[in-house]
Amino acid sequence: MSPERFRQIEKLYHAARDVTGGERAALLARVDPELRREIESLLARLPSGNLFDRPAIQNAPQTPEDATVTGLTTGASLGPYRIESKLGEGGMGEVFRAIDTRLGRAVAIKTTQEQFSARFQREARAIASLNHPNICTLHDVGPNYLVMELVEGETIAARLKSGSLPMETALAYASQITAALAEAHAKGIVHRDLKPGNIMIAKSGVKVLDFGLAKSGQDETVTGSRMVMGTPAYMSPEQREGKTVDARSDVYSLGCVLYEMFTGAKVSSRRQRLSSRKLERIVSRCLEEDLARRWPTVAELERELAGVNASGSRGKRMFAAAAGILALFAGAAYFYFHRAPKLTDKDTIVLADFVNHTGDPIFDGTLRQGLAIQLEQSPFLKIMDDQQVQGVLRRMRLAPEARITNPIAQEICVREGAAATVDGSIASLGKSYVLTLQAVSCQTSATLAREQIQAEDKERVLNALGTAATAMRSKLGESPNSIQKLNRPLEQVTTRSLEALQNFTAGKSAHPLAGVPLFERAITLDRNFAMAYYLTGIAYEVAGDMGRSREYAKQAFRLIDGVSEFERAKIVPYYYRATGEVDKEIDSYQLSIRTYPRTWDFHNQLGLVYVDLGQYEEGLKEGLEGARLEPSAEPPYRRQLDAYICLDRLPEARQLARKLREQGLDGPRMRQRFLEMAYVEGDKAAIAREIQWFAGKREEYLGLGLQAAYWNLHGRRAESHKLYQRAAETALRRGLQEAASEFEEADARARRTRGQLPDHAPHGSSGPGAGIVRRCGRGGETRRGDFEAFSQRNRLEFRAASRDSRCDRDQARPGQERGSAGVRLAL
Amino acid sequence: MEASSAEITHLLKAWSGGDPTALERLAEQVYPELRLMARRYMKSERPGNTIQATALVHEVYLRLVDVTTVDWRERAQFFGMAAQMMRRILVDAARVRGSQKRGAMAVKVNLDETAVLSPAPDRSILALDDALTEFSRVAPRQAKVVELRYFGGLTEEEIVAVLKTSPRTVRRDWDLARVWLLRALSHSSGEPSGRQL
Repeated sequence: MSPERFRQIEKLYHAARDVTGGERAALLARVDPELRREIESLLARLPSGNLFDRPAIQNAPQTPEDATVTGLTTGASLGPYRIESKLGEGGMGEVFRAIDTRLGRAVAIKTTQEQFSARFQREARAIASLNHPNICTLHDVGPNYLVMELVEGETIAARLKSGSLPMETALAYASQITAALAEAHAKGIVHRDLKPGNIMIAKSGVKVLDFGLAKSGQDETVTGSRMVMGTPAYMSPEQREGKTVDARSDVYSLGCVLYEMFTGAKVSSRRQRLSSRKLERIVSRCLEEDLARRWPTVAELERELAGVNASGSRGKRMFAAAAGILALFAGAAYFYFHRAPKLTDKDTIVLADFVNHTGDPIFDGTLRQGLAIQLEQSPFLKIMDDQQVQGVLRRMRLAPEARITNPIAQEICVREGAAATVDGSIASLGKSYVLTLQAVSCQTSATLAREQIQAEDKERVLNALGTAATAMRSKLGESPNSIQKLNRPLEQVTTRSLEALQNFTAGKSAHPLAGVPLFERAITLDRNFAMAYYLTGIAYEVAGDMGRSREYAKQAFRLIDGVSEFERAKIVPYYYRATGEVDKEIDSYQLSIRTYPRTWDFHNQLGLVYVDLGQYEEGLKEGLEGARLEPSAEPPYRRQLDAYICLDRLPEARQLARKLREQGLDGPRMRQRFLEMAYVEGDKAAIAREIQWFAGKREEYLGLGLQAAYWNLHGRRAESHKLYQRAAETALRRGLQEAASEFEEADARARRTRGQLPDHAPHGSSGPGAGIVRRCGRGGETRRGDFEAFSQRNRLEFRAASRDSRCDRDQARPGQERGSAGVRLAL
Repeated sequence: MEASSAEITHLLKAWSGGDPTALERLAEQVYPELRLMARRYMKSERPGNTIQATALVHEVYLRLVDVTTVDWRERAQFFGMAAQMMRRILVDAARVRGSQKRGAMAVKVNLDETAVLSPAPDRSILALDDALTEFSRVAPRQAKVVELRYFGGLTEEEIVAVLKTSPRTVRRDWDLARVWLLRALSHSSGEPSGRQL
């Protein structure tokens, strides 16, 4: 057959496949009989279950030769070994007691589910060469079984269940275990999984089992699966991170075993000191995180331990006495961190964008967002917020929406004095996905933590991400208690839908109103996506649509039981704000601050409430705290500025304004304040400068509204009218209908009250400060005076004008800064 | 000689970058590993319990290649190569078994689900390999789809990436190739012509 003929057949076949019944018959009737027969014979093969339903390898029959051993039963023979009984079963496989018929000796046979790798079979030969009274000898290695010396007795793990060992016994065991390790290390064999459960107490002394059987991170050993397998509680830090391990990893594990033998307790982040100073020194040097500071060889440790042995009886007494004291003062017992935490709660981390190897755009951005949500729950970790990141990007002359690649994240981390970056990658593997998270110190470039996790399918990616992030929190030094309290899986709290999260992420990076359709889409995909309701509500609030905002606040609040603690900390106060329950709003912000004291925005929001209520001192305090936590965020400085102005602390206000200008923290919202200060002080040059600043900006309507109000105040109706119209138009062009209509209303009001306005300059006879102070105060208590007209009327104008850009970090603060709170500098 | 994942990744990138000599060295590393895994899989009494058959190529990829530095093109190339190797491994295995059992089995190729579990598929793999080679002469792309999917266990998206074509084409190719090959196999089994099965 020629390729041309094939193409002819192909074309017709697909055409016929696309139709059925009569249509197909009609189609085939039109072609020549030979071609028709060809197509019909193919169509007749249309499969309903055939060899193509599963991959070739599944159709391949099993080979009988050197099969692995499974399902051994008593009496069965395995080469020269006769199975006598089953001794136990574990994660890896089963253990049998057997007789080596050649020598008549009893042996233990350990089977594994998977076949050993070639490399392990080579290694096993080295292990089999170990000959030491404290090492369980390996006699023989099969495809998936090991024949070992039969050791009868109990393990140290079993023995420890009834408490710590007597000092002398513990020291005796310690020296035997150490001797066994020294012997193995001398032959280049690392145990990799030393733990009390792998040490048997036999009549003749202890026997260390299972040398070299554990899988390690980099190289495959037993079965070839590249997984970190071992017993986490006894694994060295480098082993937990999946790095290549050497004998010093065993030193760490030995330290854990020794500690447990001496105290009866497992090593944890808060461990007690050992009674004997010498012992404490030995054990703590085993447990050093830093490889270089650990005992370089077991042999050295062995010599040191022998010294403790000599003073055994004294040690015993001391230990008993110390134990008594510890028991007496248990509450005040001396604890310390045996492992320096990787990060402290003063450190900030920078999240890089995920490297997406899957080619599936759904993961772009989404995973970073998911990771942020998961890590944000931690009061311990502080993630550098998007505003700050964008600020640095600007200074690096990169677009604010630039991908935060790993090198960029590192650069940001260094520039901002943060502690570490966390980057991630995702790769697909058939239907499943492999996610990798890694935290790297940007000072030392050391890997602080690494997590790899496999998700069975796309639906489980978020779940896996959550799990990996939680593990990361622990590795980075957060206490288990904190993690336990403040960690709910992403899919339970935020959303389980990747697509919803994708839309949500896109919505967050869009300008508030532009984000609404994306949030709506996310809500359609997941009706219980509380944060999507929340951000939609915020967007409407920013746009001045208070009715809709309230609706969404209610929707978000309705779902409050299904959100993470951090999300709750945002949603609850927002809901009370939307419903106008100020007391509850304050209470809930205070609660949010108690749970997440490092989140600047909660302080900022609370400060705003206080300023609105006329409690400027409190407002100032929160503004200062917010700025302390996040010196590069603008909103807390607005709280400070408002408070200074309203407290009549103008020199401080001016000084702050100067500082903000120098640091470039002078966004439109800040400029609005500057313009008003300029008006109040009658500083013509400053007025001109600020107006000029607004020209052509997307927030130009703010400046225009302010000017309109000012001219109105001065009885310059015509100019005022023109400016109000321009402000309304500009707002409308930005899609801010509400703001536009408020400008219209303000204009109409000004027309109605024409001629009745007190024609006062903004600076009163008692100085500009006095004037301003009058304008600050609770809405219900507005005093009559120079500034009443300016403030009371223009408050509305300004309120409309001020809505747009108060969107803080995540637009958590609406534009409207509590218009209800009356006559204050409503900007 | 076992190369590190960094070396293998380097070879993959070199090959992907147009260095044909890298392919040979890459294959030297990948083939034994894949064969070992395939054999292990075939020996396993409970397929699916230990390794997912479809994941063999993926597993070997994950094991040998530093996935964090490889882009999707390089990955696709790797998968394409590995699928070809899987075909060779399975055909070789079937050939060995066939020679061991020569004469013991009736020459019958069963293509339905139940027969798949009988020893006959040994022969069906050989027959299929022949039919596929034949098919590739007139329809190289379609034959490649079969190799990637049936022998390599690749997913549709992965095949799209390997062949740089559209998902629709891959679906259509697979649809036609299947019936084509099934027809070819049934013809060959019906012919007592001594054709090498």
